[in-house]
Amino acid sequence: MKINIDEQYCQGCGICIHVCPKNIFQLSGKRSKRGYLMPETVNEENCIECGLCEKYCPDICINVVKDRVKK
Amino acid sequence: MQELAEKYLRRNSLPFIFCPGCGDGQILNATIRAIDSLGIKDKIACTSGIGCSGWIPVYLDLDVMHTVHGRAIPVAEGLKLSAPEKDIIVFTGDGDCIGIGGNHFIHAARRNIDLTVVMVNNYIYGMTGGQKAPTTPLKAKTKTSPYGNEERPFDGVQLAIASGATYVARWSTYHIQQLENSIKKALLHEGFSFIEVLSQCPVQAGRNIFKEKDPWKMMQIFKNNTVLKGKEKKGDQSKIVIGEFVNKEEKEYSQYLADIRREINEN
Amino acid sequence: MFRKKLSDSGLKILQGNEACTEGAIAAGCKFFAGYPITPASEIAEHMAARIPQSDGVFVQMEDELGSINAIIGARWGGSKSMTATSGPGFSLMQEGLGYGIITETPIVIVDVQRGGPSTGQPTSSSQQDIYQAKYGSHGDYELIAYAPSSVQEMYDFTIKAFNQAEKYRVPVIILADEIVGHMRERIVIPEEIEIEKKESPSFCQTPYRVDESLIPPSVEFFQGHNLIIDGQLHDERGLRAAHLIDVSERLVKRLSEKILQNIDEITDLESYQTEDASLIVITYGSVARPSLEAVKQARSAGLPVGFIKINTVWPFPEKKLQELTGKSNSIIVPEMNLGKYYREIRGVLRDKNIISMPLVGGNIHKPVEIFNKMREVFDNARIS
Repeated sequence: MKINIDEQYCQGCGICIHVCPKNIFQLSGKRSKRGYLMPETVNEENCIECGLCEKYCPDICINVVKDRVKK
Repeated sequence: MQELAEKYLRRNSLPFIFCPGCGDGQILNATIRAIDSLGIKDKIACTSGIGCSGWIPVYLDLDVMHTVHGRAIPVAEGLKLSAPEKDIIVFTGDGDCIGIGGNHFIHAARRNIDLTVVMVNNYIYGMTGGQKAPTTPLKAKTKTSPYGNEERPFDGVQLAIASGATYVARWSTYHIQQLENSIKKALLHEGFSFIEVLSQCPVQAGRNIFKEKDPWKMMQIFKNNTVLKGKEKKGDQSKIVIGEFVNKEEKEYSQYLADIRREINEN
Repeated sequence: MFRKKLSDSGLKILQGNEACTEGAIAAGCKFFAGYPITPASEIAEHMAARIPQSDGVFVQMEDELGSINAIIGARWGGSKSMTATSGPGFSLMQEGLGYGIITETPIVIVDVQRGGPSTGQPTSSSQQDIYQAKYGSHGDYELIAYAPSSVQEMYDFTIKAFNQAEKYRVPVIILADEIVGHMRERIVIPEEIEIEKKESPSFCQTPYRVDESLIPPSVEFFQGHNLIIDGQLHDERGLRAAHLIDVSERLVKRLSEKILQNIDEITDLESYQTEDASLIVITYGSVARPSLEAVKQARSAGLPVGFIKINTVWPFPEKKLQELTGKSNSIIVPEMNLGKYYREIRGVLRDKNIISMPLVGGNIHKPVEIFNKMREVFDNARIS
């Protein structure tokens, strides 16, 4: 997985869904153990590693694994 | 877990107490990035007051004092003056800083003591359930202003400027990168730094004042109702000015005291 | 504990407030934050001049709330710290004092009492804050309070206060008053004093974990522990535990027990001719002076009287008082208030005749007034 959302801490606020310029986040329809509606990632290959999801997340629970080789 | 979260968060205090989408988490996020980019984790201690913003540094794996309401700044002053080579960050809210803590705030700014004060402005007293705050807009309906707020709000930035703060900035959680940059600048700045952050409180202020519960939509409200300093339209008072207002060098208080001590003991 | 040599030992004539400052500096005070208030301002003034000479910091804060909070921050930053005020300022400091109690911060607060209530009598003495010292802040707790009765004691008790604050990780009050604060007397500055110093653990993740002493470890900021110090009820790690009933109960009880289980070491009483006394005068602070004089005169007149001076008014020295007053049947308690400490004594010495000698308005008891009271007690006893 390139983009990890830590379900232990995510509160389903949805900010990542709006902030990603490549629309990689969407609602998954599933709930975490804490009961929040979780986001999921789609088309991760489109990720440009801008880091906005990491910076804007209020629960600091999104981790973007950066490619070692620059595109 | 995210790498920075691993490095900076106090594991046994998680998860955050913040509501989903609360700006406090974003401000904590930006602070961690600012500290990490400067590489000064070992040089920092934090204080905070009471309120939702008071919880921000509790989650940091640093020396942290969660003080009583309105007194985060004098505690920070005591810390700074006994360890002047350290950096002290104060997390405070609009009520904590310019309500009950107002007197300490203006005097600390007047002294130009080297602190970085991050005032989270969510326009309401959130932790206690949604009462009005010194920054609540006129006519806004809250739990203690059911007929509409009869008081004009304070502008924290103007108070800071008038009190003599030597670094003053205002951003919002929408402007998260600029906020991170300002926190960095404030940490490097030797003097009293004040950063006001417009922050969404989806549960209390969102519901009562902004009529908007979605955190992203509240961030859009901040985006659309603020204007960068220097880009204001002439005569247009409808938007909140954000940006850097003051950035100057003046004699810092703890240094001044150290100079006097040196002089006394040399003679 | 370590012994510290003093460079200014010898005889000095000092004002009480000055002596308090000198004692603080001798004890290693490196931070003073205060706000001017009569009759305590001389402590701030003297500190402003003296503390930078010993590489310390003086700040005149914007109010007393700033002062009490600044000294707490300073102690966690590594500097022994003190503030000084009078009744009205002490009232303002109560919330901060509570924060010092729950965080177990070693600080010293001097209250040079004046007449109250409210603005009261700024330039007259009283002992009206005796309950405020113990019960002024909200919540249940114990602390240590000294009542100096001379300029020498203003010096000596201040040093003791710093030591006990460090030893028990508790705020210590010095309950002085305008008379002892403003009087000038000759004092002896000793050649060396003992300073309490405890070793900090090398790495502490549990700043509130205790052993059988019930006293938490001596830790500070900037030692690498990454401490979380919180005013909410907390667990051993300092993390919020206000929602956990058993942890909360344990903490609140421990804050009192850490003092009460060491009450014999903490409490300090002096007695004069109590062994065969049927009447004993018990008091504290500057009222001890006319009281001792009256007792001596009464003894010369053949009355079997004694005297107890309470140096540590809190925690209340119940056991020691019971031991010292065993043979007596009457107790007189002169105080410059409407009779407060008298109630505490009456509560524990229930088999005795306890007589209050309240005095408000700004005067202090005269020896002849106390002598006449003693005489009256004996006369009544003979008649009944």
